[in-house]
Amino acid sequence: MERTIYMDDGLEDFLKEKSDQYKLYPSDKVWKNIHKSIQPKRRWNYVVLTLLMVTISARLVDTDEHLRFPHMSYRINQPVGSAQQSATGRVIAEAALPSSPVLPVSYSFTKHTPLPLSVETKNIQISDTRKILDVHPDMKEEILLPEDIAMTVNETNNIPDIRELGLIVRNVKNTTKLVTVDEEEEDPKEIRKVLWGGDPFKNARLRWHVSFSPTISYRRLTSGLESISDIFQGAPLLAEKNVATVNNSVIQKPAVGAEVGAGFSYRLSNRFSVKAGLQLNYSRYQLRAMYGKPEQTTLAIGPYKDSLNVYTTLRNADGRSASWLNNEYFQVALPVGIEWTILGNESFKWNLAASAQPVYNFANNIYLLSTDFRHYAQDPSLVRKWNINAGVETFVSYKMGAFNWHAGPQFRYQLASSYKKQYPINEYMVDFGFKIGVTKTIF
Amino acid sequence: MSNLHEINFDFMTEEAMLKGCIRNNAAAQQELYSLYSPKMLSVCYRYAKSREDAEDMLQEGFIKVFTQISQFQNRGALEGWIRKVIVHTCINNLKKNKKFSESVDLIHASGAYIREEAIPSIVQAKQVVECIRMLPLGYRTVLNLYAIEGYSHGEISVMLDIEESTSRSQYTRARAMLEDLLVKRNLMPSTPKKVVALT
Repeated sequence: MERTIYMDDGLEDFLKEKSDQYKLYPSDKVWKNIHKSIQPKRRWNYVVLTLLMVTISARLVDTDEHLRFPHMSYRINQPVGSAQQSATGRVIAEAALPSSPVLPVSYSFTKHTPLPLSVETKNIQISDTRKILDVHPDMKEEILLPEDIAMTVNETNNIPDIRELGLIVRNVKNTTKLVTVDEEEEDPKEIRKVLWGGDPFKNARLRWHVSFSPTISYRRLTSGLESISDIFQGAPLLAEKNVATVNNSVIQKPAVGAEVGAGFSYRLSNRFSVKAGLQLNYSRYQLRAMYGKPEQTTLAIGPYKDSLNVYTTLRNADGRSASWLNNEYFQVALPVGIEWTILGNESFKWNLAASAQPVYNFANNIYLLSTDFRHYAQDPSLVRKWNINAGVETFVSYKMGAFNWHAGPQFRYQLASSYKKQYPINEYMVDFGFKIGVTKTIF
Repeated sequence: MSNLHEINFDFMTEEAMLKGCIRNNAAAQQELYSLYSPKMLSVCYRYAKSREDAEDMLQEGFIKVFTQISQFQNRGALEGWIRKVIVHTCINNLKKNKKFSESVDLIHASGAYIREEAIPSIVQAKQVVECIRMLPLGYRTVLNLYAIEGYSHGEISVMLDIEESTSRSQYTRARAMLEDLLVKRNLMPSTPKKVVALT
């Protein structure tokens, strides 16, 4: 058998050369699939953020409940036998007729703990579940005497003043075995004041709040092309046609961002509050760019008409393959604002709020349009670190238990350009969002 | 007042791109992809049955590139490393196909024939690549690996799970077929060949 091997005629070099010259451009879906595979976390950002917020809220609720009901002691100047609800629905304690003079009884109880059906101590009997209804306007919940009710009998005849007892009991009807609170005469505000150490409803001024908002970000561009046309040799791409077309010279689209914040508000009056807090913003939009050969382009001009030139492979148009680039800002903001309750009642309100938000850009990923509008390039040094946003929002709030939940649209506008002065194009970020938050009274 | 002379002239060098990719920075990954995907797609295309298959291979290959890029550690050229990953991805893809295993077998390969198809005549490079793609799968793969990627027959035998002698034989036949094709289409002058006869 004979085999032939062709050698050293340059075929391999020829094949290698031609193969290397040959290029194919993949379709956009390839990069999209790759990006999806290698950046899967992005999809979960909002879920994680929301879960975090819910967890924090839940934790705060839990903590707050323990702070509110730390074994509060109430004393009733009657040896209480059993409780039942009066015709008016107020607190009623059914007392067993004392065989001796009225003895004060001391109770210690916590929320949500049912009273045992029968507790006996000395000559005092308590049966049935006893309730104190509507003890606090924010809670509107039942407070039940606890299982481990601490019941002591004061053997002395030192009967305390009824006003010290925690409940205002005016018409004590010993003869009918009932200790009742007269609905007509008792002052609920006074009850609240005694029970909660002040008047939490009327005078509660300080509140905390947390909020989360998915946002849609976009930008508005302006350019002083007249001032740069005599500095740069090449006329800007569209400058001849229309000076104000910088917005039209780029292809861009909004993208989803997020905002999460927390803070405090202080009620100045029934309708007005001031508020301040800390907020994290993630804003982004997308712009269409093409890839090309590395080329030099000008990004900025200096005070002495010197220019900042960079090399870039990204073109605004006329490239070989197109892609969407993300321009992203990560900001921490300190919003300070005012809130106005337009209308509503105790449980449902419609509010309007405005705020000024100094922001600090702690990270960004920004592609800048070159001064001739032909290229994109990155130079973080041209992006402002500090800026200020104006925010307006309207929302409805609804009281659920101790919390006010609020939801509504918001609008945020960046007042100063994203870029420093030497960059001739101005960018103003615009964010629309839907804020969901919760507010809780502190005191 | 800010001073422009203090501003860094910032553009994404290969080093910056590499660091960005290691940090999982999407912009750097996209830049790297844009830079190398056209070349790498043509590599995949030489191994694949169709353009769609080539894009699938490219996608899988770049996912490996981005997930394993921390292993690169600047040993050699980045393009060479990426190419290596892509070629291995192509080979692994081919090996999943049963027909491929058969086609690299010498017995089956001996009956191979060239599909006479119209060659698009856009540019010479494209015609050459299309000629390579006209070769039977087994021939084409060995030829790609040996003549273009520069692997030795020993390495090819490991990659394809075949005997080294099989690789040599496949290559010899592939080379002869391809040369005929190129000459017929005036893509290569018919030069006198240096022939070594083996018995």
